[in-house]
Amino acid sequence: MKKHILYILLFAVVLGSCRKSDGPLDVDLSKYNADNYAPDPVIDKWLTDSLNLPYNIQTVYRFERNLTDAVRNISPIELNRVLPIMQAVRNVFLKPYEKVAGTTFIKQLTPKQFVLYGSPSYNDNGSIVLGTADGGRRVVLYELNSMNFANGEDVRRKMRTIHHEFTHIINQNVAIPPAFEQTSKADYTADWTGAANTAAVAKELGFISQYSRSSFGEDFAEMVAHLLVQGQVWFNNYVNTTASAAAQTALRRKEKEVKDYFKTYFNIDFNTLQAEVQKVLKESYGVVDPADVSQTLPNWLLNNRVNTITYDPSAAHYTTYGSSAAFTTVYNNYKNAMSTLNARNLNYIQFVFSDATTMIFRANYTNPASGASFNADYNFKFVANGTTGLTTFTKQIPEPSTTGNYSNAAGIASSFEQVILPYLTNRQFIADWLPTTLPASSPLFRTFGGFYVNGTPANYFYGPIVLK
Amino acid sequence: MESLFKNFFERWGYGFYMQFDGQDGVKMLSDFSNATATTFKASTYRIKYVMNTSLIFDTYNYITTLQDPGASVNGGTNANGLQSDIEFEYLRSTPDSVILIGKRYRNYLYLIKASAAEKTSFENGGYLTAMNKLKNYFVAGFPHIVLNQGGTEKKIEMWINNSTKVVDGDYLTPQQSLLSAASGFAFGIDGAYFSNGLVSEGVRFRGIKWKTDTEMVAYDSAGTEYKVGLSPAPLTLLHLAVGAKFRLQANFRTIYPGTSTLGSAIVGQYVNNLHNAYSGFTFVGGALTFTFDIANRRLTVTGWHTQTAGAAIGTGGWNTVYLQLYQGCQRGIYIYACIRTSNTSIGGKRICTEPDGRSW
Repeated sequence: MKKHILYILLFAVVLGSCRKSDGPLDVDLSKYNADNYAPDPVIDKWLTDSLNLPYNIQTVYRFERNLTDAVRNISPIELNRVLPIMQAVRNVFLKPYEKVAGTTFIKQLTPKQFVLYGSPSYNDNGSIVLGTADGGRRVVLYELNSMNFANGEDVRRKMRTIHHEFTHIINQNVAIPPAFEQTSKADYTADWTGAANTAAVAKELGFISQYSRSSFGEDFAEMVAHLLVQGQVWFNNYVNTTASAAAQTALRRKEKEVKDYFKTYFNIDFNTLQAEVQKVLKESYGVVDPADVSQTLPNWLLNNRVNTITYDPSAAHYTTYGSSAAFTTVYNNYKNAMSTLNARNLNYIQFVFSDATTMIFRANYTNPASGASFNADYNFKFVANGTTGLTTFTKQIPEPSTTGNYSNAAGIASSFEQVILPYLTNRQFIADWLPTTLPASSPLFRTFGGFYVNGTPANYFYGPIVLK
Repeated sequence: MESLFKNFFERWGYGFYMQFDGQDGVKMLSDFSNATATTFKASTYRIKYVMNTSLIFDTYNYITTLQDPGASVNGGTNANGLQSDIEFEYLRSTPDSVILIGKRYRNYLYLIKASAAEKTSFENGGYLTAMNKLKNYFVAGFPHIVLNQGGTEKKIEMWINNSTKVVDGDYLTPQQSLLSAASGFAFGIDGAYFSNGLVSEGVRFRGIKWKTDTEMVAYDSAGTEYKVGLSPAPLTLLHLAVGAKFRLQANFRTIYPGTSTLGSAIVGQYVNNLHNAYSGFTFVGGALTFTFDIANRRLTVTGWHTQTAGAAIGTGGWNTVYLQLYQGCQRGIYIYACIRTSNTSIGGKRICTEPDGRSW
């Protein structure tokens, strides 16, 4: 068969050379079929000076059918969007890598061709392609015309695509360690756009995005892109708001493997790289980190960071920020009961969190006969939900000691058992930053905290937080 | 240069004014919207040999709006847009025109050289003025082309639809049948171009233009001009247009102003009882469509109803079709044959009255 083809080719060549009627071809090849378009004095100059010369990167922004899917309708980019997107590529992608991983690294590995299109590329199933990376050398970006560069989140979304694609290129140089694939191996599916794969489902399976489920290669790239561009706070929130412990473990394991990969194979400190990307996004594009969901009072309690919360009704902050009428009644009932039953005067009460599961209810009182003040301690166990703040107190029986504050407590236990014990153990509470009149923007935010009765926000107590 | 752009379905047409600067730069106006008719937009183009000499609009401009695959951009469908082109290959040229054809959807692009006066007008907001002038002309009266063929005067009435950019030409034969033709049209500075040509009574009209400030003429490919008359009342009687051009449609929970009491009761029986489980089921959308088949003297009544919010008429729901023959139509009065049916599912209502007044 091979011989046959060779014969035909030879025959064609011979035939061609015999045609004497052809004169010498008088074609100036520098003009024939020329595609030397006139460079734009601003756009093309910047692209040449800032990307082509230093990094050997070509930017194809004028419509080229053959660099995209030829059967699809794709629109070219608007002229005024070329520079903003490529400046973002330089600032958010090239520069951080150059600074952290070194000039050689980025010059060697960066895609050498960026192809820009204005419209999305529609898939048959209605989803759209935002970008592709081909052969480690070309990145194609879509949907640039609808981008609002004044909106940092828009820039973030597009830069995530670029970091995602670049991760593929890195992976083509050093393959993803096989261990990475094992973490979520059972849950990868080609039908990642299917109705069953909602964002919530993907999250509960331990994936950073729906697209992550398509394959471990995409999972890896999505992990890198989200960690770098969305930031660590966002990632931690994502993990912390995952209900399934297995998903949290999977996400944390994959995070570690991603970071190890960069360190082991490229000697890149991923956290430094992440900080660089975040710095430019925040300084140049005005993005802000989301509120850290781990910074909740229940999380502080569970992490054993809080020492005490004190309720002293005479304190000035109850005048400034208000107090709960329902709880004031509880407190006064206790005070009156102590006076009547125990002949002692209540000064204030305190919630002492001695560890992540123990709360000591402490009453400070004065003996009117001597004028001396004492503390009475009653131990509780508590369980708190880090996300919802739902907290339940149960009495610890017996008390851990019979001396000191516990001895004092035994002496005035009747008033405690009449008022405080049922109040704390007969209901569920929500631990939160209270009072609600103190906004998150206030410098005093998170210096006060307390509990309100689950479902009855008007029944609450709070006080200044003393940390450990 | 001025260009005329013919869109898919060989119907829609769009007009552009393009200034090519010879340095790959092009500035455009378009009759796509009032805004695009007054504000120039700059982009690039290039001439490239790709199997044939090609003109490629290689950055985004108004012409790309038609090609954009995003439905929200141009009112087309996602992934397809309006099925238009941005790459055109050379077909032929005349002394004042270059004719190109789209590489993908085979839309024609006619580049017609603009005169100095037209250039000045385009650059000074004249395009929108011209568009409004023509639209107003069609609002003020009922324009028709007057065609003299062998001593017989024929009037071809024109209707334009500014949103679909379609012009209809209706000719009422002496036998009172309506012949309707359609073409896309694009606004020019001195009239309108019919993209595919409006073919009526053997003549392919290529456009209409202002002869004087108030009078228009139509012209064919040879340049022959035909008078355009303006009638105060439509030449095409509605009952002749029904079936030939139009069908009647009543929409979900809507009785249009002007509907008679009896008409409201009949139509309302359907459209106003879809949402309230009158039939035992609750619907969120529906329409009642009367389609007349003139040749076969049939009226098809289609009741469409859906439980999918936002579904387009005729899709994503159910159609109940009822066919009725009619004996004829004189001056808009239809005489129906009565077909005995045992179908009482339509709410048990009488649905037919015999000519002698018996109803059942």
